Amino acid sequence: MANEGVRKKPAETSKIITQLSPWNSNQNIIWLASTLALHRNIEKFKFPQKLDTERKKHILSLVTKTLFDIKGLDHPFAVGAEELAPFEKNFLLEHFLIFEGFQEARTGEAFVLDDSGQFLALLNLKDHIQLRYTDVSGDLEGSWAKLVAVENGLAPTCNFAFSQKFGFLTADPAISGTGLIVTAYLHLPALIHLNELQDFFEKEKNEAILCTGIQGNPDEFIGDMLAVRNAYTIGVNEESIIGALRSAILKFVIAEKHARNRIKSEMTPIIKDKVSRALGTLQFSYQLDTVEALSTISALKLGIELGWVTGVSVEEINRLFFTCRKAHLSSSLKEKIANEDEALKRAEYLREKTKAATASIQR
Amino acid sequence: MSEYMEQLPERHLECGECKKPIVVVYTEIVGKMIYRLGMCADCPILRQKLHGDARLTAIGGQAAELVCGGCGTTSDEVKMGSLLGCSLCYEVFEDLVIQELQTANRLAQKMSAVKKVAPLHMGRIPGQPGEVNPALKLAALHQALHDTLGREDYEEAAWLRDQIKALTEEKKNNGK
Repeated sequence: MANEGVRKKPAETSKIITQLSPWNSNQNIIWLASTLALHRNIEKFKFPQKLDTERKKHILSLVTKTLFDIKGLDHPFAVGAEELAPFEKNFLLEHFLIFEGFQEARTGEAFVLDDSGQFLALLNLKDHIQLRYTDVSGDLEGSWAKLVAVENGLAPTCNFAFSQKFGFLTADPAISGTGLIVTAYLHLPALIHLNELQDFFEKEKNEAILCTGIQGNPDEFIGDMLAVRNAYTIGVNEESIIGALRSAILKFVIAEKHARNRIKSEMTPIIKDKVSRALGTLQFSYQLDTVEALSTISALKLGIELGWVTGVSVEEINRLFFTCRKAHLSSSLKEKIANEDEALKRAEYLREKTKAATASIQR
Repeated sequence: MSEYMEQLPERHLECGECKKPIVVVYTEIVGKMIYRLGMCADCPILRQKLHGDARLTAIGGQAAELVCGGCGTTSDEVKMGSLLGCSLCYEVFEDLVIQELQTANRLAQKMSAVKKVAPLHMGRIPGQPGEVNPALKLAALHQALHDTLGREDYEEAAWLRDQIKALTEEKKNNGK
């Protein structure tokens, strides 16, 4: 039975897997994007893990109805978790840069999206409400204000679980307090391949900041991408969280720019080799797994930004970071991809997308 | 060669149950198998293995485990890092939650020495607007400019100056 708590718009389920904004026009060089997540629970209801399905549906009805009336969201629509195929859930994970899976999502759980492709509300997963906003303009303050406007729009109908001692109460106490997690995604191939990232971490030690790869692993930077987020949500205020993040991001950006300038002036052989190999791999491979694809796309992006590779725009290469992942690849090719064909289809897709690229690296 | 087959985890980095640093290596021999588990000192599973069911036993004069009246979550579940079940859990397990936050280094360090009765939360309360002082952005840029000039990196300094100029002009225009 379909989820009774959600206003049903079946046609809009398919909108999810064709949604490409804001990733289809991202021209950012180093600071690719940021996500802000706000965790909230509703007073007098048990948290979702202990809540029965009927009460979950009651919450869905209450929250979705209110969200639909909030100004500032662009045609919001809700989809029940049980209405989504695993492939569609994967698409959401990839699109909204979520590395905590929700493949297990069931009846009583739902997602609210809007036409901007930047807003997502996860309902009744770990917490009753998780509001997420994806920003590609480097405007952390503006994104935060947008999320708070949505939260304040919910306030008349939802009394949030809050205590003076712990702030906003969340199922995981480690994110109580502000309930705010801000993550910036930085592309740092120069620092990583010149082996300068570790020195940078040591020099710029900041206990308020956590750095991991995009999959949450602190030792593996897939696609030379770093996810930089606030280490604390409790014991700090929102302004300090955003301020600390902004200051850390700026330091990373300056260090990466500095490293790239050095590569450019010294024509560092190891980087020239990486960029050339990446171009070869993308243009001639017949099998590419996601990790290898992301790392070659990263090297090619660096080559373009150093002026060594032409024929592909930064916008197009940024889009490839998404479209090479399984659910997005499937959506781009408009076909369901079997597991055994995935690497083959990805290589074929990337060969086509990078065929116009040419390298002109000085020897 | 020993007739026992030994099963060892690859590395003892964190408690298999609570994900805290390992203090005890618990070895259990069942038939011909040797199991070794790395566990933290106050792991409820370790207590259960050594002293039987923790729910029924008071250990070392301590009271038996607490249970939240709102959702049935137990103190052992909280110690093992399970999610809390309801708002009431924060009152029932207040000390335990603070202790767990400190152990996991999830409480800003300046708060670690705060008095027990003082609020840990320093952010906004429900209904407050979400305004961030626009000067924050400028402050970060000025700090970075200062650092960059200190390193005599004039190229980056010029880039930062452009950013500061653009932001200052944007602020002026918004203020009109």
